[in-house]
Amino acid sequence: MIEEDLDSIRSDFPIFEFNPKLIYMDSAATSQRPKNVIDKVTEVYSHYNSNVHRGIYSMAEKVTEEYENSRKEIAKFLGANADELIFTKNTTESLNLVAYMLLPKLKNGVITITELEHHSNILPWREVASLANAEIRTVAVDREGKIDYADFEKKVSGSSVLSFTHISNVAGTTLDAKKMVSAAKAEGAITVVDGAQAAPHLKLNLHDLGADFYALSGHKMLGPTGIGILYGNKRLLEDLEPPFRGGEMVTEVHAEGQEWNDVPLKFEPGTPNFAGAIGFGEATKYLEKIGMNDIESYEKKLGKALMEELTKIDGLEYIGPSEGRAALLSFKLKGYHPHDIAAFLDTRSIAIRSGFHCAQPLHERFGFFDGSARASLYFYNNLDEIESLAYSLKELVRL
Amino acid sequence: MSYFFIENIMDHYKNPRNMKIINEASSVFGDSNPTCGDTVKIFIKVNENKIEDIGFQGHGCALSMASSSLLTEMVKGSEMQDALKITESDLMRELGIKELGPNRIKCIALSVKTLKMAIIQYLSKVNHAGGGT
Ligand SMILES: Cc1ncc(COP(=O)(O)O)c(C=O)c1O
Repeated sequence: MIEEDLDSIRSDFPIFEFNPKLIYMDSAATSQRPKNVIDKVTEVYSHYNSNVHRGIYSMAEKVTEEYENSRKEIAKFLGANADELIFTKNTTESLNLVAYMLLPKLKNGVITITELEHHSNILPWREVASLANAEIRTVAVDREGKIDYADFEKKVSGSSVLSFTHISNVAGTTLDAKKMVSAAKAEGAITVVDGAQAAPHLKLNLHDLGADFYALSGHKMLGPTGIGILYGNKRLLEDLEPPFRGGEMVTEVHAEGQEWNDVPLKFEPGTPNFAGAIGFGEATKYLEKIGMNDIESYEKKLGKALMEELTKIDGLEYIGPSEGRAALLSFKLKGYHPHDIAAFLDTRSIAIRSGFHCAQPLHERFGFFDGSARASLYFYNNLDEIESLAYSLKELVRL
Repeated sequence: MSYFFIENIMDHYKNPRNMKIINEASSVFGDSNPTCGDTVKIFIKVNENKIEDIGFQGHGCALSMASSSLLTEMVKGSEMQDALKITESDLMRELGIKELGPNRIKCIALSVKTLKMAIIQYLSKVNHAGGGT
């Protein structure tokens, strides 16, 4: 159980040793990383650093093997096959990549997203929509930041692509991804899920979920920065053309013509972030060791406590559901700008985010025109820290 | 020290100076910080190259509001040319802040930039009109 092991879990994260007072509540922006991940990246660079999929000397074989083993490790973690995972830089790159992959299929089509989306799941679609003369539809959410399913059914009908976030990074709502994916598939739409906030917190099985594409970032789930994943349905990946081209993604290039490499390398042009990819594999091993089911149930408790403690504060308003939220809360306090809240909490060694969290339309939808302050937790947080947060916010209100 | 505990800042934030609209202003300019939603609008009344009166309206974080308030105090009665020379560092010094991260400098820069634009707008208007007569 996480709660009993929390001291030992926290000791795996060097940042808490370096900074014992730190109360880190900005994990939705980026998580902290355990020592095994940091050590693994150092190991790559100091023991077998060489380029992947190129050299034939033993070190190059070793790094290639580690790189591909990591892909297998991550695939196992996600309930997918290794050859369905494309290494990218982050979720943003994954979503841009899939948007450009699908561009040829979108002529005069319909792209459906939701009001909950992060800018990275809005702007790539706007771009391909303008190139393909496609229409963008936005599914509404209700007052609690939950999908309005009546509106969803209306909008998804006739869609070519449905792309939505699995967990909202602002409202903390978890969408019924399976239901939405199957409804969209029944309409013949290609489905894309932004899993940036879900992959770190939920036990996933991508094959069971059935989405055609799933995007995520390593740095939000204990991995190094600069490494992400785009999962793609194998048949589609084989069928689609690579939008970006160069070395490694081809097998033969002649004066005229070329042969694409196999999936997924076809979509990984140039030297990849191999140290990051190998470190990410190590991160998923760590998450497996803790157990995603345990993480899910412990974080439910954290989310509930966060909600209960913070809503006791006079003048606090929040975005999202009153129940069943992820362990994050975006809020505002009457009379205090979100930056002032974050700056004050910083004096108490509490790190939270303030601003629009790359989801400005959503803030506007809920009348949060100055943005919000957001506390986002992970399994290394505890109930005492939530109490400290609430205490400090009350201190601010009294100031 | 965090700006939260600098009395000068909290004083300007809670009791802003010159927070008013000037109906007969010579120039009005408004701007915003899209990343945080802060807005500032500055009104200047010019008499013989001097900022005879100044007012501001806006909303935002304590830093942006306090720095706008202080800036209006600093330039009231001074020559436009001198007001144009004021920088973010001058304001920080006056506020009593030693250091500020790059994200928060923007909160101070907003009023400095807006005042400059109000003055430049006034000068170009006058120059145009002057050219014709
Ligand atoms: C829901 C959601 N989508 C996409 C992203 C973008 O992730 P990244 O910055 O790693 O590309 C984020 C991260 O803030 C997010 O929360």
